[in-house]
Amino acid sequence: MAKIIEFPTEWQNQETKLFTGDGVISDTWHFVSEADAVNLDTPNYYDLTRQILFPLDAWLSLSPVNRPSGFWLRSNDDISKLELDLTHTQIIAIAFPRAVDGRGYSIARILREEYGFTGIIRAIGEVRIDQLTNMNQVGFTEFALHPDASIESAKQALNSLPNRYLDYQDAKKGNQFNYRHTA
Amino acid sequence: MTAAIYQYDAFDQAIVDQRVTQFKNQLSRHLKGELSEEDFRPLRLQNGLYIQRHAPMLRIAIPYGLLNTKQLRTLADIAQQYDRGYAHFTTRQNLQYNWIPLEQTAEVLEKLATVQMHAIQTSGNCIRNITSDALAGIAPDEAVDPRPFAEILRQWSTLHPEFAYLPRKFKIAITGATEDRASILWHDIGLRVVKNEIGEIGFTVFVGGGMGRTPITAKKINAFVPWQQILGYLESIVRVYNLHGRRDNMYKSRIKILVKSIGIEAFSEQVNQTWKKIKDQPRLQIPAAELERVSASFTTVSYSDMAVDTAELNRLKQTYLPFARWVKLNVLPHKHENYASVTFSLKHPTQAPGDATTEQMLKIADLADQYSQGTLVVSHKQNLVLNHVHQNNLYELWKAAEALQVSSPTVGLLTDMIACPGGDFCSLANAKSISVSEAIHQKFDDLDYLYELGNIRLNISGCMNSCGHHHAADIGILGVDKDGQDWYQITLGGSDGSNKGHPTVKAGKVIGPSFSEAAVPDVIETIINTYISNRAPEEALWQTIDRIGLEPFKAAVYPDRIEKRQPQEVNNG
Repeated sequence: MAKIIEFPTEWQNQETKLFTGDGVISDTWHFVSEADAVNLDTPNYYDLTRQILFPLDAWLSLSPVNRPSGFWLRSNDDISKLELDLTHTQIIAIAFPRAVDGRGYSIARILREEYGFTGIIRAIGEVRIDQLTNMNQVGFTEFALHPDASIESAKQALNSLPNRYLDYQDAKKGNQFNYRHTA
Repeated sequence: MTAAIYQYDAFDQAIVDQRVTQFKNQLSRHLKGELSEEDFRPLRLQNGLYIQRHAPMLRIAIPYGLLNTKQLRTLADIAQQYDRGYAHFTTRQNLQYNWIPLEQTAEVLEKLATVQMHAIQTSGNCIRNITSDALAGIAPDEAVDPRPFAEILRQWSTLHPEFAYLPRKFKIAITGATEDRASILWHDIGLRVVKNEIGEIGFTVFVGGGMGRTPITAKKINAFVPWQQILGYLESIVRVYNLHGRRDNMYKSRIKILVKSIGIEAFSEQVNQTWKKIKDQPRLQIPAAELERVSASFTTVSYSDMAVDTAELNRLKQTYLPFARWVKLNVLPHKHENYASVTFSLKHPTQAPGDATTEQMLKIADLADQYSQGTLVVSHKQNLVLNHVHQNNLYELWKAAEALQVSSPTVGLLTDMIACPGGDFCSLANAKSISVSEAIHQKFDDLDYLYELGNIRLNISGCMNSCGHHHAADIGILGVDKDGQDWYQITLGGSDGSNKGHPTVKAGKVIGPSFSEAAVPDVIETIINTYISNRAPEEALWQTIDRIGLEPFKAAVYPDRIEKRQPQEVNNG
């Protein structure tokens, strides 16, 4: 039960607006909430030719050939111990059950740096525009914002701190020490 | 020559300027109602703003305690223009204002940025200001000057994108000296810069210390991390904490609870697993050129070869007893034989511990310019330290300090109390701190007596958050709330790691039920009298406590204890 208290799930039923940094794009992925994934006898119920984002455990329960090329992670999914095969994965969404739950930032870096994952990392859940600049730094490329969020403000917030002492975004490209980067 | 203070270049300046612009925008969206209080909260906290009793408390970062006089003057001016003409220096070497209206905070941050200062990450669940030894760079017992490393860690932690929303606040302290004057074992991470047997520099790393409700001292996790690799090692620790620290209960979310619950061995193993994966990443290696660049970005002070006029100094000490006492307690030795470190005490009986007025700050800035090459340090003990004073200037400096009421010759004595702002200002506090420190000052106003008592550390916290470090003192006073009244619990035998207390760093033990505010000074007096009647020659309070235990103190403080307990035992039986 403690899990439920710790990880609110209401966000899983909310509408979102998908922001990439440049603007809003339409979402081609169908999000499956934890409740929906659990209530189904098997995730195979879904038409696997569609682009579906299952929660990690439902995704893992599928046989590898049936796995869609994306899934979503809860903030307590410990991916450093899982040794996932991400060869065919295009997108991983990471959930922020509360805006102040910062685990997703570490998860994104583990995906980028330990797994070498180069696909889309999408922030879902309680995503606030004032967090975009940090999310972008650790490797997020898409942001599921509240439908009312101002895209103008989101763009401004994303670019609000162009100077970083340790620029992880830039370092990702060259992987060299990049202590004082200017955007 | 020695390093004085880090100077920003255009890059550093751009970072604080951009941060001010970002905050202005956030504040304006909040004031217009576009950003809810809940969403604004973490943003304002990471810019040093707490909502407090009277107005937001604004905490300014003073990186590892270093200030130049231009900065101190700006802090003084801000106190005058936006606050009520004073400010409070904290145990984490920062400065706090208490009366700045929310609407004016962005303007204040803008002013601070003009003198290379900010309030970034002085609050919130992120890596806070890095603290260090107030004598760093000049202490005779120092193996390595920790400040260039402290600056690299400051830059690494500033705006670190991964660690802005940790389970709870995260504090790092660093020292390069034999004596721990920075309480490193009371921090989430304590770092000691050391040289190994072949002269290479590295860090001994301690993890999991903290005060609060559950005082725990940090455990050694790595004896030697080469300095080039320290960022990767720290990222490994903080990442394990970020992913596995508790987020369901605020009181159990510090790293100390995680380390304690799984044990230092298991924690260390998790850290090593992460470190193995990231340690060789080029991005986390500090190049020698970067250390050189940061070191060279410090201004330097140079020392004069003019010999100390020892005969004159001795004559002055013999002529003026208060001066002699001040030299004995407030003047500390320096690496350079002609120089000394001078502590300006912010513990005058008429002022709250750690407080300084605008006038004092402005005049102290003048004195630091005149006698200490324009720099000063905020100490962990909430005093201001001038680290580059030629000994021939000590008498003049003392006279000037006298006039400013910052010359109390009490450094290390009972009235050199650490105290948080307490219930008068802080909305977290259960009880007042300032009035208690005042009452103790009144009780112990005889300098001869204080001098005779010798080295005693007495710290006061207004609540369990322990900002006044009561756990780490010989005598700790903790404010507790009892039916809406201010009550105080007393602990004895705590230690902070300095040479002035028990060599084993530990929390003090509660001696028994709490007391009303009015009773506290008498209780302290009883404890002191018990010490005096039991002490062996030359024995400090901590040594007496260590030797005889708490029982004699309890018996003196609670004389009716046994009679009261007996009927209860009968009833229970």
